[in-house]
Amino acid sequence: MLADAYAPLREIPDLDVIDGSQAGVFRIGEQRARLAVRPRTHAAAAAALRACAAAGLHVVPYGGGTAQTLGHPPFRIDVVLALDLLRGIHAYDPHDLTLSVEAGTTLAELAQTLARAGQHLPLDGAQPARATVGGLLATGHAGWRAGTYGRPRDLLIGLRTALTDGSQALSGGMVVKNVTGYDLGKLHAGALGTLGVILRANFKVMPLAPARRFVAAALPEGTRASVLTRIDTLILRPSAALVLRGWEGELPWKSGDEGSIAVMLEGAAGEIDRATRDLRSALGAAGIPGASIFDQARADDALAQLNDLWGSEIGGRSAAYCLRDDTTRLISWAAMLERIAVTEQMAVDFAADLLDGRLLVRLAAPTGHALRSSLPSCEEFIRKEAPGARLLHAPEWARREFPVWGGEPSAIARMREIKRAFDPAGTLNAGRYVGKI
Amino acid sequence: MIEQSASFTQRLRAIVGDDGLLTDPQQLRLYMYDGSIERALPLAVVLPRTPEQVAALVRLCHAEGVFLTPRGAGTGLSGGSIPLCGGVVLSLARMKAILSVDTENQMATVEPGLVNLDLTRHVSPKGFQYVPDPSSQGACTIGGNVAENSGGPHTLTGGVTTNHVLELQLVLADGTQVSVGSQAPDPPGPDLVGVVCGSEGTIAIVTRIVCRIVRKAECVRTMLAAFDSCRAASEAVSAVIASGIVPTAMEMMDHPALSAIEAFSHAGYPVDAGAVLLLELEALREEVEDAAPRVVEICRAGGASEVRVARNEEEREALWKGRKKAFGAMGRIGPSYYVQDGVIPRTRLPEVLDRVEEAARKVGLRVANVFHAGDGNLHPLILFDDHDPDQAKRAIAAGEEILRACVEAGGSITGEHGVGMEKRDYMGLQFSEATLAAFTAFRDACDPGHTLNPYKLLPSGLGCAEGGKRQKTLTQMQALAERNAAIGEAY
Ligand SMILES: Cc1cc2nc3c(=O)[nH]c(=O)nc-3n(C[C@H](O)[C@H](O)[C@H](O)COP(=O)(O)OP(=O)(O)OC[C@H]3O[C@@H](n4cnc5c(N)ncnc54)[C@H](O)[C@@H]3O)c2cc1C
Repeated sequence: MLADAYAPLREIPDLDVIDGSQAGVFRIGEQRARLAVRPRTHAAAAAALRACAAAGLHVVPYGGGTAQTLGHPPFRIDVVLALDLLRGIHAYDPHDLTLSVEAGTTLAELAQTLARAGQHLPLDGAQPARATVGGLLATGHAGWRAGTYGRPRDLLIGLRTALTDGSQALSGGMVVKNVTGYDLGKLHAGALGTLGVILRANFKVMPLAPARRFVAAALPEGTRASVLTRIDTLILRPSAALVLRGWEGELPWKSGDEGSIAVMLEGAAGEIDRATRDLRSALGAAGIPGASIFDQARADDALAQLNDLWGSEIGGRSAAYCLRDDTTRLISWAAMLERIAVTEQMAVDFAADLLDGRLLVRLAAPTGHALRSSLPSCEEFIRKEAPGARLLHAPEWARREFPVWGGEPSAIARMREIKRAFDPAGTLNAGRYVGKI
Repeated sequence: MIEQSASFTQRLRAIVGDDGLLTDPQQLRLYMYDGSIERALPLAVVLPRTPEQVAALVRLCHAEGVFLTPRGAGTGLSGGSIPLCGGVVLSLARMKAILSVDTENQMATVEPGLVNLDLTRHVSPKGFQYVPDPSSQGACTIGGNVAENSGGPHTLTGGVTTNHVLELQLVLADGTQVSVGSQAPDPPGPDLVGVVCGSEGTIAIVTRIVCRIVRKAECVRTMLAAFDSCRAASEAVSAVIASGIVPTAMEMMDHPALSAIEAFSHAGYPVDAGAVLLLELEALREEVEDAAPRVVEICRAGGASEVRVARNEEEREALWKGRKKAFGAMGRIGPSYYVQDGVIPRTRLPEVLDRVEEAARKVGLRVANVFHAGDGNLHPLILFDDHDPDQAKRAIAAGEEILRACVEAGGSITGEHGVGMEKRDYMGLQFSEATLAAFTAFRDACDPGHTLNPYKLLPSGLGCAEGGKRQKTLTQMQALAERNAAIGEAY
């Protein structure tokens, strides 16, 4: 009977159908796809989606597969809709500072195109060589420069999506300012592909800063708390500023007793020199002696390594949370988590975003089994203190049991109505999103 | 019928008190207008003071099927706050408190009726500002800005309203109160803040806003460059961007606009110029000092006959004064104007400005241009006599022609003024039937009865893919409109 349900997919032009073991390369957490379709055109993607919805098949849209452990595990996976053949720059005129790109394009590919024209789209993702534009938008992932440059929703100016009725809806356009119609693009940005499948996205882009400098320093005992207030008064707002702890082997600078601080500065050359002097004196005043400096491409690399931390898992035995709070409270949060990790015998690594009030925490146990026994009490503690904490990755059992997205928002009923309006049969990513939408 | 309507007004009064309800036709007439050329009379105006009162009013109107149109200051330019189908106008004007300011976390919590400029004035002594600065900022409200997703001269680098709103307290169409977004980053769930911004009062009433405030820049440099023609000025805009410099503002005024503005506000603009660019750079000293001479050089190379750089705050304000009061100045050259708000990729400015000129000439009217050139956001002001119905018709025809030109150039029919009732029937120029159906589905999910600001933003007529469904909604709405009219007989 199931075979029949899949049959209409094989009739769709420009749609590659992959089944059997070959489909297994598409992994959703611990599960492997049994059937995947790869559309070569927008029309094929929309037709595939409609066929699945009509046959009652559950669809998981798939970009680079770097964030498929986000959210609850899907209720069921019948078809993976892989966007990797929809790739490339659709339109780009550097003088307009706008760009239109297919959803399956990797972030690295996009960055290269823009860099050739001296521009960039300052939306950082983990693993840019694999992560796709569509995935970045669907997850709404905000990298470490989000506090300064904004989130995917802020730079998105237009979106084309395939809906489950087989239609393609557009919102926005190729202009930097636009209030024609509802800004439905924003609705899809961060909705984890539960409302439609992102096919193409338009962004506003900007000139790459001529000077980029990454400054990192080890934090000696007793300096962590004071560094925070100093960052706040820097003359040049950094594009990223973090306090880190742990992540052994993942970062190219030394860590001290209280971890390290990392700051990215972007601007005109003269400006960066003054900002560096200013930063050095702020660090000095906080009792932090030396700093490593990385310039231009090396600064970009250091930043990329920091952004990779978002996706850094230790196979089957780690879990990562993102906590949100006033920047002033982040450090005490970190200290609390360090304590609980000790009692639960887990390793804790964290990165606190000083500009944006977020704390990325990774908890790791010696084995998957040990994680199973110690994570629940950490989860309980975190939920009690920070109900809004988001579980970013964890083994499937945890993502099934825990309230991955934090508490239910007050507008959850309206969110369900919107889901019903766009995906009445619950075809897309069923069960993964807030309130198991 | 009358009995029923009497009880309806009594129930309104019970919620907002005697002084919160206007029913006197004389007073109601003041709520017929906004900044556009549309007009319609409400049946009653309510002026609540709290979110709870707003919720009670929405519940009542929802239960009775009476249309409700939210209103801020009524400066909107697309008829958004006009009670097209009668019903009740809900004015947020009395909810205008600044509830809190948190400079450490760079945010402020305000009520929707707060006037935009009052927020910046309030935080300015602490070195902060609220970035979106519509030219109407001395009058328009932040609630209205959210509903329109307003921009302003400084949104080129600063972003528009949606980029500055963190959390909203809303009253939904059925009267429930929810909060969307959050003061902490990345709240879970679809980005409802993002869709409420620019929804023109059709899906919720905004009763509280948490917005971002930012530190004022260390250094600001404002300059004026005079060119022979709009084409030359447009090319200079592109050349500046191409050089890797993105000024915080790049505003253009053409010759007819300049003469009107100069006569009105004596800003000292060069009235002989074909077009003037007003440019502003904001950053750290080094960056501004590096960029400013390059911008001057680019303008000169692009044929600027004069480049003036403000030497102090006074000169800077003088340069801005004319621009900020530009629309008001049009009275100097015509009895009335009809402003369009199309937006295009900025590299297409020269050709589309030619088409704007052509569109006005074709109908025998004059046009002046004052606009956000850096954003490619045109504001052609078509001058006409509003007492002459034929001129009004011709102005509308020219407006339509201009919107077509914008769409054909890969742009959009509105950049910041909204669709409202004025442009709803041009939506089809820009969007496919499938897209319009998605908009309608979204609206239906949020406000199935279309009681909030009905007939706005979506095409009024049929002809889209959802024809059948829309027709049904329209019939329902007509029935409701009749009901509203019946209630109105009480007055
Ligand atoms: C001279 C002049 C210059 C202008 N310059 C600019 C400019 O530079 N940039 C720009 O973007 N706009 C500009 N505008 C347009 C206008 O000022 C903006 O659209 C402004 O945001 C409207 O605010 P308001 O308070 O007057 O809202 P109103 O006109 O009263 O209402 C506008 C819309 O918002 C809805 N609304 C109002 N309050 C709420 C609420 N609390 N909840 C839900 N819906 C609500 C109304 O129903 C309506 O649909 C200008 C207007 C004039 C007259």
